Amino acid sequence: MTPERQHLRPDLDTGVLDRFRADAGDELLHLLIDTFVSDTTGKLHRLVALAASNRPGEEAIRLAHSLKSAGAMAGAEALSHAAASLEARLVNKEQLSAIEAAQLEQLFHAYRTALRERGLI
Amino acid sequence: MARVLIVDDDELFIKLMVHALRQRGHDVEFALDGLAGSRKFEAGHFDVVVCDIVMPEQEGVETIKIMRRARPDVGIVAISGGLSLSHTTNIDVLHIAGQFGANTTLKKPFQLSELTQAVDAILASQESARAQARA
Repeated sequence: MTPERQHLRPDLDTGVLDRFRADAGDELLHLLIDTFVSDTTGKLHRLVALAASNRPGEEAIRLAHSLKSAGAMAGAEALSHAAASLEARLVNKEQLSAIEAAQLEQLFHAYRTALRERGLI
Repeated sequence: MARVLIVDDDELFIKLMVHALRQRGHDVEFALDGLAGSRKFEAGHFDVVVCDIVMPEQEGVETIKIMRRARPDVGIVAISGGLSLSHTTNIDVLHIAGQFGANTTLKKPFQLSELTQAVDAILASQESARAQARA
Protein backbone atom coordinates (compact mmCIF):
# COMPACT_ATOMS: atom_id res chain seq x y z
CA MET A 1 0.00 0.00 0.00
CA THR A 2 1.36 3.43 -0.91
CA PRO A 3 1.65 5.89 2.00
CA GLU A 4 -1.15 8.13 0.77
CA ARG A 5 -3.63 5.27 0.34
CA GLN A 6 -3.67 5.24 4.11
CA HIS A 7 -5.39 8.64 3.78
CA LEU A 8 -7.79 7.32 1.10
CA ARG A 9 -6.40 9.59 -1.61
CA PRO A 10 -6.74 8.03 -5.07
CA ASP A 11 -3.59 7.76 -7.18
CA LEU A 12 -5.64 9.06 -10.12
CA ASP A 13 -8.78 11.16 -9.76
CA THR A 14 -10.50 10.49 -13.08
CA GLY A 15 -13.11 13.16 -12.29
CA VAL A 16 -10.41 15.84 -12.58
CA LEU A 17 -9.45 14.61 -16.05
CA ASP A 18 -13.10 14.28 -17.11
CA ARG A 19 -13.80 17.87 -16.10
CA PHE A 20 -10.65 19.09 -17.84
CA ARG A 21 -11.64 17.24 -21.05
CA ALA A 22 -15.16 18.71 -20.92
CA ASP A 23 -13.71 22.20 -20.48
CA ALA A 24 -10.71 22.14 -22.82
CA GLY A 25 -11.10 19.15 -25.17
CA ASP A 26 -9.12 16.02 -26.04
CA GLU A 27 -6.10 17.74 -27.55
CA LEU A 28 -5.35 19.75 -24.42
CA LEU A 29 -6.09 16.76 -22.18
CA HIS A 30 -3.32 14.83 -23.93
CA LEU A 31 -1.01 17.85 -23.69
CA LEU A 32 -1.78 17.98 -19.94
CA ILE A 33 -1.05 14.29 -19.35
CA ASP A 34 2.02 14.04 -21.60
CA THR A 35 3.61 17.20 -20.19
CA PHE A 36 2.85 16.31 -16.58
CA VAL A 37 4.31 12.82 -16.94
CA SER A 38 7.43 14.11 -18.66
CA ASP A 39 8.01 17.09 -16.30
CA THR A 40 7.31 15.12 -13.13
CA THR A 41 9.88 12.47 -13.99
CA GLY A 42 12.57 15.17 -14.07
CA LYS A 43 11.32 16.96 -10.95
CA LEU A 44 11.33 13.75 -8.90
CA HIS A 45 14.84 12.85 -10.05
CA ARG A 46 15.97 16.29 -8.93
CA LEU A 47 14.20 15.90 -5.58
CA VAL A 48 15.93 12.56 -4.99
CA ALA A 49 19.28 14.20 -5.77
CA LEU A 50 18.53 17.07 -3.37
CA ALA A 51 17.57 14.60 -0.63
CA ALA A 52 20.94 12.88 -1.10
CA SER A 53 22.75 16.21 -0.87
CA ASN A 54 21.24 17.00 2.56
CA ARG A 55 20.82 20.63 1.45
CA PRO A 56 17.38 20.80 -0.16
CA GLY A 57 16.85 24.56 0.35
CA GLU A 58 14.55 26.76 -1.73
CA GLU A 59 14.76 24.53 -4.80
CA ALA A 60 13.16 21.62 -2.95
CA ILE A 61 10.34 23.88 -1.72
CA ARG A 62 9.70 25.05 -5.28
CA LEU A 63 9.73 21.47 -6.59
CA ALA A 64 7.27 20.32 -3.92
CA HIS A 65 5.10 23.38 -4.59
CA SER A 66 5.11 22.66 -8.31
CA LEU A 67 4.29 18.96 -7.83
CA LYS A 68 1.39 20.00 -5.59
CA SER A 69 -0.20 22.35 -8.16
CA ALA A 70 0.63 20.41 -11.32
CA GLY A 71 -0.43 17.14 -9.68
CA ALA A 72 -3.78 18.64 -8.73
CA MET A 73 -4.24 19.88 -12.31
CA ALA A 74 -3.47 16.39 -13.72
CA GLY A 75 -5.59 14.42 -11.26
CA ALA A 76 -2.59 12.92 -9.43
CA GLU A 77 -4.35 13.40 -6.13
CA ALA A 78 -2.21 11.27 -3.83
CA LEU A 79 1.00 12.74 -5.27
CA SER A 80 -0.34 16.29 -5.03
CA HIS A 81 -1.40 15.78 -1.42
CA ALA A 82 1.95 14.25 -0.45
CA ALA A 83 3.79 17.10 -2.20
CA ALA A 84 1.72 19.66 -0.25
CA SER A 85 2.69 17.94 3.00
CA LEU A 86 6.33 17.93 1.96
CA GLU A 87 6.16 21.61 0.98
CA ALA A 88 4.77 22.46 4.42
CA ARG A 89 7.52 20.53 6.19
CA LEU A 90 10.25 22.14 4.09
CA VAL A 91 8.80 25.63 4.65
CA ASN A 92 8.97 24.82 8.38
CA LYS A 93 12.69 24.07 7.96
CA GLU A 94 12.41 20.29 8.25
CA GLN A 95 14.79 18.09 6.30
CA LEU A 96 13.96 16.31 3.05
CA SER A 97 14.59 12.61 3.57
CA ALA A 98 15.48 10.12 0.85
CA ILE A 99 12.52 8.03 1.99
CA GLU A 100 10.08 10.90 1.37
CA ALA A 101 11.47 11.48 -2.11
CA ALA A 102 11.18 7.76 -2.83
CA GLN A 103 7.57 7.77 -1.59
CA LEU A 104 6.71 10.53 -4.05
CA GLU A 105 8.26 8.47 -6.85
CA GLN A 106 6.15 5.51 -5.72
CA LEU A 107 2.97 7.62 -5.89
CA PHE A 108 3.93 8.85 -9.35
CA HIS A 109 4.49 5.26 -10.49
CA ALA A 110 1.00 4.34 -9.21
CA TYR A 111 -0.47 7.34 -11.07
CA ARG A 112 1.16 6.28 -14.35
CA THR A 113 -0.07 2.72 -13.85
CA ALA A 114 -3.63 4.04 -13.38
CA LEU A 115 -3.32 6.15 -16.54
CA ARG A 116 -2.04 3.10 -18.48
CA GLU A 117 -4.90 0.93 -17.21
CA ARG A 118 -7.35 3.50 -18.61
CA GLY A 119 -5.55 3.79 -21.95
CA LEU A 120 -4.58 7.42 -21.29
CA ILE A 121 -0.86 6.84 -21.95
CA MET B 1 -6.96 40.10 -29.98
CA ALA B 2 -4.74 41.19 -27.13
CA ARG B 3 -1.08 40.87 -26.21
CA VAL B 4 -0.73 38.60 -23.19
CA LEU B 5 2.41 37.84 -21.15
CA ILE B 6 2.44 34.69 -19.01
CA VAL B 7 5.01 34.47 -16.18
CA ASP B 8 5.21 31.03 -14.56
CA ASP B 9 8.09 28.67 -13.74
CA ASP B 10 5.99 25.56 -14.34
CA GLU B 11 6.14 24.37 -17.95
CA LEU B 12 2.91 22.41 -17.60
CA PHE B 13 0.91 25.53 -16.79
CA ILE B 14 2.82 27.59 -19.38
CA LYS B 15 1.99 25.12 -22.18
CA LEU B 16 -1.68 24.83 -21.24
CA MET B 17 -2.23 28.57 -20.79
CA VAL B 18 -0.34 29.52 -23.97
CA HIS B 19 -2.39 27.02 -25.95
CA ALA B 20 -5.74 28.10 -24.48
CA LEU B 21 -5.08 31.83 -24.98
CA ARG B 22 -3.74 31.39 -28.54
CA GLN B 23 -6.87 29.36 -29.34
CA ARG B 24 -8.81 32.49 -28.35
CA GLY B 25 -6.76 34.49 -30.87
CA HIS B 26 -4.43 36.29 -28.46
CA ASP B 27 -0.77 37.07 -29.14
CA VAL B 28 0.96 35.28 -26.24
CA GLU B 29 4.51 35.40 -24.92
CA PHE B 30 5.87 33.79 -21.76
CA ALA B 31 8.72 33.91 -19.25
CA LEU B 32 9.87 31.27 -16.76
CA ASP B 33 10.65 33.50 -13.75
CA GLY B 34 9.77 36.90 -12.37
CA LEU B 35 12.95 38.64 -13.47
CA ALA B 36 12.67 37.41 -17.07
CA GLY B 37 8.99 38.34 -16.96
CA SER B 38 9.77 41.89 -15.85
CA ARG B 39 12.31 42.27 -18.67
CA LYS B 40 9.82 41.03 -21.28
CA PHE B 41 7.20 43.32 -19.81
CA GLU B 42 9.48 46.35 -20.18
CA ALA B 43 10.37 45.41 -23.76
CA GLY B 44 6.86 44.83 -25.09
CA HIS B 45 3.49 46.50 -24.70
CA PHE B 46 1.20 43.90 -23.12
CA ASP B 47 -2.51 44.35 -22.42
CA VAL B 48 -2.69 41.57 -19.82
CA VAL B 49 -0.14 39.72 -17.66
CA VAL B 50 -0.85 36.32 -16.10
CA CYS B 51 1.61 35.95 -13.21
CA ASP B 52 2.38 33.03 -10.91
CA ILE B 53 3.47 33.87 -7.35
CA VAL B 54 5.97 31.25 -6.10
CA MET B 55 8.83 31.55 -8.62
CA PRO B 56 12.62 31.67 -8.66
CA GLU B 57 14.70 34.83 -9.19
CA GLN B 58 11.89 37.25 -8.40
CA GLU B 59 8.62 36.11 -6.84
CA GLY B 60 5.24 37.05 -8.21
CA VAL B 61 4.06 39.71 -5.74
CA GLU B 62 7.25 41.72 -6.32
CA THR B 63 6.87 41.20 -10.08
CA ILE B 64 3.26 42.43 -9.95
CA LYS B 65 4.27 45.49 -7.90
CA ILE B 66 6.91 46.45 -10.47
CA MET B 67 4.54 45.98 -13.40
CA ARG B 68 1.68 47.85 -11.75
CA ARG B 69 3.98 50.78 -10.94
CA ALA B 70 5.23 50.94 -14.54
CA ARG B 71 1.81 50.48 -16.18
CA PRO B 72 -1.20 51.42 -14.02
CA ASP B 73 -3.57 50.38 -16.84
CA VAL B 74 -2.23 46.87 -17.49
CA GLY B 75 -4.51 43.95 -16.61
CA ILE B 76 -2.99 41.46 -14.17
CA VAL B 77 -4.23 37.97 -13.33
CA ALA B 78 -2.37 36.41 -10.37
CA ILE B 79 -2.32 32.60 -10.21
CA SER B 80 -1.03 30.28 -7.48
CA GLY B 81 -1.62 27.07 -5.60
CA GLY B 82 -0.89 28.90 -2.33
CA LEU B 83 2.02 28.16 -0.04
CA SER B 84 1.39 25.21 2.29
CA LEU B 85 2.33 25.70 5.93
CA SER B 86 0.68 22.49 7.16
CA HIS B 87 -1.94 19.94 6.08
CA THR B 88 -4.66 22.50 6.67
CA THR B 89 -2.99 25.92 6.56
CA ASN B 90 -2.07 27.80 3.40
CA ILE B 91 -0.60 31.28 3.10
CA ASP B 92 -3.15 33.11 0.95
CA VAL B 93 -0.61 34.56 -1.45
CA LEU B 94 -3.37 35.44 -3.92
CA HIS B 95 -4.98 37.79 -1.40
CA ILE B 96 -1.60 39.50 -1.01
CA ALA B 97 -1.23 39.68 -4.80
CA GLY B 98 -4.64 41.37 -4.99
CA GLN B 99 -3.53 43.96 -2.44
CA PHE B 100 -0.42 44.71 -4.52
CA GLY B 101 -2.14 45.24 -7.85
CA ALA B 102 -3.62 42.07 -9.38
CA ASN B 103 -7.05 42.72 -10.90
CA THR B 104 -8.10 39.08 -10.64
CA THR B 105 -6.79 35.96 -8.93
CA LEU B 106 -7.12 32.28 -9.82
CA LYS B 107 -6.20 29.42 -7.51
CA LYS B 108 -4.39 26.49 -9.11
CA PRO B 109 -5.70 24.13 -10.27
CA PHE B 110 -8.22 26.00 -12.40
CA GLN B 111 -10.13 25.27 -15.58
CA LEU B 112 -8.64 26.92 -18.67
CA SER B 113 -12.03 28.51 -19.42
CA GLU B 114 -11.73 30.34 -16.07
CA LEU B 115 -8.46 31.84 -17.29
CA THR B 116 -9.78 32.87 -20.71
CA GLN B 117 -12.90 34.37 -19.08
CA ALA B 118 -10.74 36.32 -16.62
CA VAL B 119 -8.64 37.71 -19.49
CA ASP B 120 -11.78 38.55 -21.51
CA ALA B 121 -13.30 40.37 -18.52
CA ILE B 122 -10.16 42.48 -18.05
CA LEU B 123 -10.06 43.36 -21.77
CA ALA B 124 -13.74 44.35 -21.67
CA SER B 125 -13.07 46.55 -18.65
CA GLN B 126 -10.07 48.19 -20.38
CA GLU B 127 -12.18 48.84 -23.49
CA SER B 128 -14.93 50.36 -21.37
CA ALA B 129 -12.40 52.65 -19.63
CA ARG B 130 -11.05 53.77 -23.02
CA ALA B 131 -14.57 54.47 -24.30
CA GLN B 132 -15.32 56.57 -21.21
CA ALA B 133 -12.09 58.49 -21.67
CA ARG B 134 -13.03 59.27 -25.29
CA ALA B 135 -16.56 60.41 -24.37
